[in-house]
Amino acid sequence: MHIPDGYLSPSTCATMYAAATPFWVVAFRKVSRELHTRLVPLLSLFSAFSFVVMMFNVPLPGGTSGHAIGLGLAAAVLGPWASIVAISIALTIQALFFGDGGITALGANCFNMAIAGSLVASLVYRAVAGSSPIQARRRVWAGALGGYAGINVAALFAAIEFGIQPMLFKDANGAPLYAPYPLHIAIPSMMAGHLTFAGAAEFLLSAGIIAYLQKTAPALLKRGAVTQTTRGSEPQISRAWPAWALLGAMMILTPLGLLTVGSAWGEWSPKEFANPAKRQQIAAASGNVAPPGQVPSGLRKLSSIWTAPMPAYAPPVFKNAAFGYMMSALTGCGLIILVFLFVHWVAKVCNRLLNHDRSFPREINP
Amino acid sequence: MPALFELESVSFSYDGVVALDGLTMTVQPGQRLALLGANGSGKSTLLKLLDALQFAGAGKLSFCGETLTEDRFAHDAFQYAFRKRVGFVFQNPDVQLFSPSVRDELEFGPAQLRLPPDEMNRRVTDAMDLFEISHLADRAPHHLSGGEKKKVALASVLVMQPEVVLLDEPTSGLDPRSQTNLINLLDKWDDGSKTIITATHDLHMLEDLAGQCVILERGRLIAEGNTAHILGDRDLLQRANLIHAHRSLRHSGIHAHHHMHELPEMGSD
Amino acid sequence: MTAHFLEKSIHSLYRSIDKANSADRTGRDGGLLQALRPEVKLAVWLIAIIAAIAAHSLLFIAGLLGLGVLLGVASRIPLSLLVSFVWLPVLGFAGLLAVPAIFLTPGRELLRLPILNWTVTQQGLTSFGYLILRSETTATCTMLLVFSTPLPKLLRALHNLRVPRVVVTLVAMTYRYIFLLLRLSLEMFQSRRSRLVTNLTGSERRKLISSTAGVLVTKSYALSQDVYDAMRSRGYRA
Repeated sequence: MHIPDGYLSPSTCATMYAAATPFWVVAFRKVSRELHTRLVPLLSLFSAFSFVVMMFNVPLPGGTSGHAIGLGLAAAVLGPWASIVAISIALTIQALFFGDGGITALGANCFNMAIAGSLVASLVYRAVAGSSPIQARRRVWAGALGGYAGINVAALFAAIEFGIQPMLFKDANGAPLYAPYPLHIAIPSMMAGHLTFAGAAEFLLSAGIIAYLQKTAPALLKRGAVTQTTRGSEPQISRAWPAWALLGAMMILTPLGLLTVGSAWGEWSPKEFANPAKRQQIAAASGNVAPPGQVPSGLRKLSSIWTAPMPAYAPPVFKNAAFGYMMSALTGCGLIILVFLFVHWVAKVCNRLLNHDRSFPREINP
Repeated sequence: MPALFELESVSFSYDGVVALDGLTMTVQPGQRLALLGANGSGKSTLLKLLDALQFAGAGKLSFCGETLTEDRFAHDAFQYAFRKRVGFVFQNPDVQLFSPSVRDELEFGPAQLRLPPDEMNRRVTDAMDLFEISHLADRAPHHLSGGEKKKVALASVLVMQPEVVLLDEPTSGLDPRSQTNLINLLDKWDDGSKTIITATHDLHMLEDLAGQCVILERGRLIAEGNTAHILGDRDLLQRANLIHAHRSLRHSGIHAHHHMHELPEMGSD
Repeated sequence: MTAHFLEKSIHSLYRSIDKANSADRTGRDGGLLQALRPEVKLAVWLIAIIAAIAAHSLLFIAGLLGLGVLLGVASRIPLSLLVSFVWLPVLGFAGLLAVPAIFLTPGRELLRLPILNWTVTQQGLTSFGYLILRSETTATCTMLLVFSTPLPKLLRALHNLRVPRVVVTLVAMTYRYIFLLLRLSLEMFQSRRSRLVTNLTGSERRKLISSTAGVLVTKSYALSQDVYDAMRSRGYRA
């Protein structure tokens, strides 16, 4: 999942840094207001924890094993804001001092895993956990599902970032300069791996740690126990809405930004991409012997292997076109958001129906 | 002249678990005092209260006649004056050494005291000379040996030139020679005007560390007196679980695992 | 075989410690890069990385990589370190990710693999070359910086280059405690391995790994409280 350097164009990298910055600023401000002088030691230790836990090998059913980020746990213990900061610092240290994950791709990696991952994981965790007691089985599921959703949204973002590269950046001979896989290959292949293995690792680790903490250190799971100095009022879920609006706006603006920056970089304009005829013209003009669209049969077979587990996201009409990319990206993200909103709503309704759950909230919200 | 520390029926509890229970005692300036007690007797809690990292739940604790309360520490000037005069060397040097290099570690305290740069440099150089750690100046703390870590931890506090030093198990986890070294360093540093309060359950270095002792058991003071007298009273030591506690020294190497099972009563020993 | 995940975890933890220890050793050696000011190195490093990413010429990127290797040799950074900590791991990850590009990229057909009937295109090979060279070059640059600069100096340089103080402090303290937690996890895994007698079932394995991680969380939190006390005790007020 750590995108290495060289897979994303400089303009994409710059855009991703720009997209991550407002979240960093907001998260940092929020966290430093709540933690005050405890900020440095607390976040340092949790960042160090994130770094180390990423090296754990989680055994998966079937004898394989995989790595996890611990998004579900971070959501449960730290909440979205501290989680954004802690995971971003862990990723920065990996890139800067250990050479794992790209430096230019750091903005993208932080955006995908630390920001989108944390926000989604926290939202799902809170929606599923509701006001259930700290020891409730439901919280284990909440963490597990939060982690699973978080890692998959992160993977989807990464896949989209990969997938737009070949549309925008090619050399004079038509060879892709950065990630060479178009969206209809990048998205299914990334998601196939993350919906199964990486997702399972995240799911199992988050569930396992939360179950462990419920037995040994339930105090850590109290909302705000770790990230708030003063036992103030329970932060309302609605307080997270500005962030969600921001994430939504970013989702729309980021692709647009990528496209406009891409063209400014001296490549092709989005309009030209949307027009297959023009595209062939470009290809022909650059001396390409085999114009795109005329896919070699071997490739077609291979790409069908890649796409097999999932239906291709981009409808064939739009395949390889910037428009198709935008549509599929937005549809994909939109679908995920809709699912979360639905889960959130279901959880709310359930809470209202299950009266026995309502007798507990004082315990969680001191 | 008021006592340095004065405790009047001080109590403290962590989430309902009583750590100190109506403690009354005084500490005079220039005293070398040992707080003796088995694990869980409340001595680490008492040190934290003396360093104003925690505040008495009931009763009154005063320093040079000034009551220590959370409200007073909200004022920068009061906090500054107190922190300048009282230093605390934590038991676990990994907690104490949080800076990227030894030099940074030694500079941390003086920088918080906002000393002018040349004064800071002079003090750091002096401290490194005194502790013979100049060659470690640019090393990262996690690359140091256990003995070196303890030395740096002590230096990082003494460089602030406090009048009072609180030591939590200063000799734990050290080989005999390093233990002797550490005590010699303290002696070299102390010109006779310093107050040194040591929490320990290690009896065999006791006479070098302290002239006076108090014994704590489950948060209560059960005995006080001069060291030779206390050490002669085997019944008392047995009752306070100190003679058996001595054996647990061997296990201090795995102390890292100690805290994690008792999260709710964090900081208690 | 049953404790495969334990071995793998232990291996990853070891490697990180090893990498940092190597950096600590080579950083204190007297070589060409070690003698340069860290601020200068940081600036050159950033320029080199951006150049490697932005360049549209394989030859240029290969040249940068070659230059990096020469600098490494001149700085007495053993090539074996670069091979085991940079080139092979990057090849294993970024390289593997790039292999399908050879066959998946449309373009001028160079050869056709027998039986599979996959085509290798000129564009595919170029694309593969870009991916490999770029990721290897940037990783080499980063590790040259790290291997030639002791961490405290690097952090000071970041501070001098106007990176916000609190960010530098956070990174510094995180790095410092990563070590403690790495060692702690290593000890936990090793002690668990030494006690393993029978084969574990799947759920026992998962329990083992998550309880280890759980201990690590609680330990991290307890440490953060203690470190906070240690900082306050020496007059820290934010």
